[in-house]
Amino acid sequence: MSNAGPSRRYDGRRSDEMRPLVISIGELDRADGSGRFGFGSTAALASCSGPLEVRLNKELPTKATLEISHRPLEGVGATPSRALITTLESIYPSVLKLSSHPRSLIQIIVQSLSSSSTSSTSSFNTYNTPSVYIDTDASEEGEPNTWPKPKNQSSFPLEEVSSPIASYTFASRSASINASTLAILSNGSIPMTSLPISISVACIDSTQGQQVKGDLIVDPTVEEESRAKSRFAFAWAFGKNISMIKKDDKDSDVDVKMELDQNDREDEMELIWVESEGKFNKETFSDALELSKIACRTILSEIREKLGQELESKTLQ
Amino acid sequence: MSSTLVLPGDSIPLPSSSKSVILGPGIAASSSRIQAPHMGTTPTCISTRLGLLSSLKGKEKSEQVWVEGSSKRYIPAQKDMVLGTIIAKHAEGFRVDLGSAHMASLEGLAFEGATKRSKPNLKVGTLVYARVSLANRDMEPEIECFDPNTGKAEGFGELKGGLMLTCSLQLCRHLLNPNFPLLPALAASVPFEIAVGLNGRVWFKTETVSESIAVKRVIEGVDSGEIKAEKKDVENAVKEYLA
Amino acid sequence: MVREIDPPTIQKDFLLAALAEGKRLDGRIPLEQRKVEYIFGEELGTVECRLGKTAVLAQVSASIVKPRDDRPYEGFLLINSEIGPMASSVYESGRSSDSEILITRLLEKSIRRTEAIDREALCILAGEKVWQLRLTLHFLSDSGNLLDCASMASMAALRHFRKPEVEVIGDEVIIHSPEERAPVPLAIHHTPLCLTFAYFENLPPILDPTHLETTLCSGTLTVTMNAQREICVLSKAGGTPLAAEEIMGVVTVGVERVREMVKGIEEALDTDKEGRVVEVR
Repeated sequence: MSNAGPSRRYDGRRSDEMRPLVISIGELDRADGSGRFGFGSTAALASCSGPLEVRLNKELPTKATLEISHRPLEGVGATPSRALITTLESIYPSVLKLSSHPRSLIQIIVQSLSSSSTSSTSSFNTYNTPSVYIDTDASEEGEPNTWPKPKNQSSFPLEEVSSPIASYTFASRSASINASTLAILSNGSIPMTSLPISISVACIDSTQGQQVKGDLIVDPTVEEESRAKSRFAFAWAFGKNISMIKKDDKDSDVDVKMELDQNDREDEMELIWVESEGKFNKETFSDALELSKIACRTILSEIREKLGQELESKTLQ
Repeated sequence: MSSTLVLPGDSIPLPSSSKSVILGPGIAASSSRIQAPHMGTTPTCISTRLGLLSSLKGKEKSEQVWVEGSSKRYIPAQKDMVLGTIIAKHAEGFRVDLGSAHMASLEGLAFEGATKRSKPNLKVGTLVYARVSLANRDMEPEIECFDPNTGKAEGFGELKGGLMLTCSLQLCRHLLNPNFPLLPALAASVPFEIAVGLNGRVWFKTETVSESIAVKRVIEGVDSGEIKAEKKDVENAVKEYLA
Repeated sequence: MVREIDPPTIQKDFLLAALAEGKRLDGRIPLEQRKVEYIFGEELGTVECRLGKTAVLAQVSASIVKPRDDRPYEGFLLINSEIGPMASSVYESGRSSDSEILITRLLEKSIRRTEAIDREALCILAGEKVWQLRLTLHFLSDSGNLLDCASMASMAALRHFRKPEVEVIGDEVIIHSPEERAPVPLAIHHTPLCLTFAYFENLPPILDPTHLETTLCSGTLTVTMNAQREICVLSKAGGTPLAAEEIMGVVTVGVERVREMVKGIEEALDTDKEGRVVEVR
């Protein structure tokens, strides 16, 4: 938080401000539950069906079989899809009470609604452009074949910090997690003990006078992520009494600040997943962690508000 | 009825004035790994689904608390009245689809007046109105088409003619509530016979085809929130659909 | 995979009784289509089409590849249309059911084989570089008639898509970013759209069957037509036999319907264009 400077980002947001959130549930008719979540245009749609009849070879005698699949916006699923599924598979079994529906199937399907382009090629894609891949064989020889034309390479030292080829941006991973959470909420038949909510944070170099320092920004766009020195995504599980956060001496000053506004809710969240990339030090990480807490709380309260409205409009009495 | 929105993981305040509290669907004891020191002896309860926290005062100062959520997928529970389709016949009885994860079994003897010699012969594809007699998460649900206390059918059994529709489980529960205005309002304009299953299925039968279609559209409209479940709105909708 | 359980017999009895009176369960008349709605994505070439409660998302992207040696002037159009379990639990990813294959084949025929896209216009440098278009379809919700919905979504997406402008100087190809030069639309010959009819024995056909109607019908017939009154594909895969006059009747209905559907796509595209800040040709 100490890094949350007054300077605005190129789209006019403050460093700790998210893009407008898209939250809706129940739009798919044939799925038992569905949810759409978006950080602006970085969005995902998820469906959650079950408990269903399970195929015999997948049947588990003591708990439900959780099947998570993902579909990218363009083409068919490959390694980046698989990576995202692994992420989701690491989050949901611990928050769902799968043991309450043994010998059944719970299906979660996530559909990305924003393209999965690599940070290195899509970095120059501005907002409204169609996504275009460059066939690497054809463009081997030189710059003229790539589109959009790369800007001056020297300004962004990409070779060191870019994501692996064709991986999802951290923001779209976060959107997928949040969409899945909404889909499970909308299903309503699968008990859930806490609510995972995710956010991405990026650290961008900025020069202030002589000093080069890293600015942390919440919910980075594709552009910002590709420029970032390091990128993080956090998922917090919200629920009463799920854990007590121990306070050690190192980041006590941050905790004191947190306690001022949220001291009674400190025990209501638990870090359930974190992924990071790039070069960063311990301070940057713990600052990003704190920043993600606040952002996830904001998302939670917005989900609460939106779903409250939706439920109210549908309330039968 | 109070109505506060709860999300999974939210703590449920238990009424302290009541002598006993009955926890309904959507509420579970918190599986806290670290015991909170200030909690004392009362366990913390959390919500496990999205919905409105509801409570009802019962007899002898007891209170029921549950989370009223909306869902489409049925989880069998004992004593629920359900609508099922027969999908297979075997020597002892039938296999019935309730829309849940597992098929339910319906014994050939679980009918009014059935004996070993004369069991009802229901075809595959027959719709039956039944009661869940056994529901356990580790076992196949069992259903019966008679009241075991009296041995009479009490309205259970094969449903002939009419039309079945599927809707949210929440609407089905509401339809069984005599104070819910939808059915009385419908009945004011269209006479019909109805069987509400708690597994998200509703069967009804009217005189004419157009009346059935109108009833179906009104119930589905109320379910999706397009039509308000109020007397005036329902009557207007029926009039529009019948025209 | 989850088994699809047949609806109880009373559903079929009632449906037939209603159709005999010329009524459908959702209040439509036999040859009425459900409400069509297009939702355009932020990126050009991303369109979600809703036909009643059926929903299909189509997305178009482009890349530059080498053409085939025997067709040096032709670009490519690839169609990906796998139906996943999101549409309905009966579909399984990685294993295609019969109905899925049928839908995929018909889409392929309706869009690719009817030459809806001018593939020669996708050529950049003969024998060297051509555009490869990839149309990905995501079936979001199967409430009946996925095919018609998918064909509308596909054509809307192809017409919504813009490819970057390229310039050829000698052997060198320059691709202009959208800031430099506005991207150009694809060259589209016509807009073929699918219309699916379901029929029941001894009853007149119905347009745009719902999921229940598809499950219970004795056969379906799909015609693909364009606004120029041309039949592009006619497919009747099994089911009870139909009289030749009945097919002609269906085609006559289709002519009017397709013209309105194309108009619907155009209106939706125009509305979207007005809302866009960037320059779009």
